[in-house]
Amino acid sequence: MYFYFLIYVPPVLGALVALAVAIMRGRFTLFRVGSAGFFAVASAIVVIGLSLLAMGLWPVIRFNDIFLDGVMTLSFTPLILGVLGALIIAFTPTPKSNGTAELMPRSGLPSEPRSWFNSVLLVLLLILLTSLWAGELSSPDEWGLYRIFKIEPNATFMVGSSFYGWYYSKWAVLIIVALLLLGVWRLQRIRNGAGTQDTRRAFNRVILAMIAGALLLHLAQITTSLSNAGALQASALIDNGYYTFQSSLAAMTIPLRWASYLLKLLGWAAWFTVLFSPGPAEELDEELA
Amino acid sequence: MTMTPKITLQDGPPGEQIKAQISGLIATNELPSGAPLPSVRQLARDLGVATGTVASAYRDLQAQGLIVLRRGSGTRVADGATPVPHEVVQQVRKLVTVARENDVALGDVAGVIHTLWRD
Repeated sequence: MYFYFLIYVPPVLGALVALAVAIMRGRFTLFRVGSAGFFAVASAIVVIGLSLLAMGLWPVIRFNDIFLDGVMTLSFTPLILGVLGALIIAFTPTPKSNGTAELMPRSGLPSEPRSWFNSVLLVLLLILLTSLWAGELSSPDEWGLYRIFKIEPNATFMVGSSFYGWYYSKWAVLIIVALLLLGVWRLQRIRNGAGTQDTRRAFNRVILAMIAGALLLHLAQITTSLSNAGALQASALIDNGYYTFQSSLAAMTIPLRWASYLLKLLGWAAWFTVLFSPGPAEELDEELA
Repeated sequence: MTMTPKITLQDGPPGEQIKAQISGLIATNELPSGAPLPSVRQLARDLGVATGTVASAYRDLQAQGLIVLRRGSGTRVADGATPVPHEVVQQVRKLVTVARENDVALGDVAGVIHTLWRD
């Protein structure tokens, strides 16, 4: 029950948070969901489905025989869906002319809305730091791949668990770079398009929210992996005594777990911001004009 | 927070409107000396007009000494650009205030000015 709760509650709460913010900011318009919004909902269903499969909780038992690398599935799915979502958004129209122009030159990469732009930068920094931390704590498995967290009290006794080590983070870097390049390309297209600053801000928000959501959900999974490593224990009978060995991250288990819950909630809230923002549709120009 | 000056196209030749509105913004100091202006391509895209239309308007404004076109450093309002003497601008401001207080439309005021101008 607890695991079902972990899978279903963050997307639902995140959607509610995004809806509340959209209503408070006066952005929510019923039945104005664009292609990116539909993708956000479809992606949430995909993430939930894969999470159930990866954790062996899929309601139809025979599908539980499918083996999925849990760490890879849970941490890479948001990033891959983020890339697909960014691709969809990247090819949607940019703001069109409504006969009004601001007499101000535009140069450089747009950084508006500032809060979303800074959020993406902050999450990137946190991903870098946690990935380095996890990478340093990871150990090679029997194939030499750094994807194990070990408790190794002595040379003859070791307990290990799958873990977000270098093996995963090096692939994540490639997907994150692809995600960021798509984002930069979209922001450049919006900058070079027509429309007033408010229109461009609204368009920028959609792509930045999609990227922030994907990165936050990925960071949540790194944090979950660290937290799981903290909860790992090894018990053994040594010299007629029964010993329990704690993980080097034991003290961090609870804070990391709560951090992962919070990051998941924020990630889904960002993801559903795409749904509850006016889609990058052509009518947006008229609405904001 | 400062407001970015804007121009909006209405009915009529776009090139003339671009020139008139930029001149007006310079006259009222909403575009002060040295203020940067968007590139020809950007302004054309924002207004939904041909680049040639904006380029032609910019050239005319440059010929009037209102703006400076420099390759590399972009387009700027010329130093000391004053298309209309300050006193005239002040009087027009007063006229606009009085017209608004009396709910007189811009077209009607412009019509009166045109008529008086011919006298």
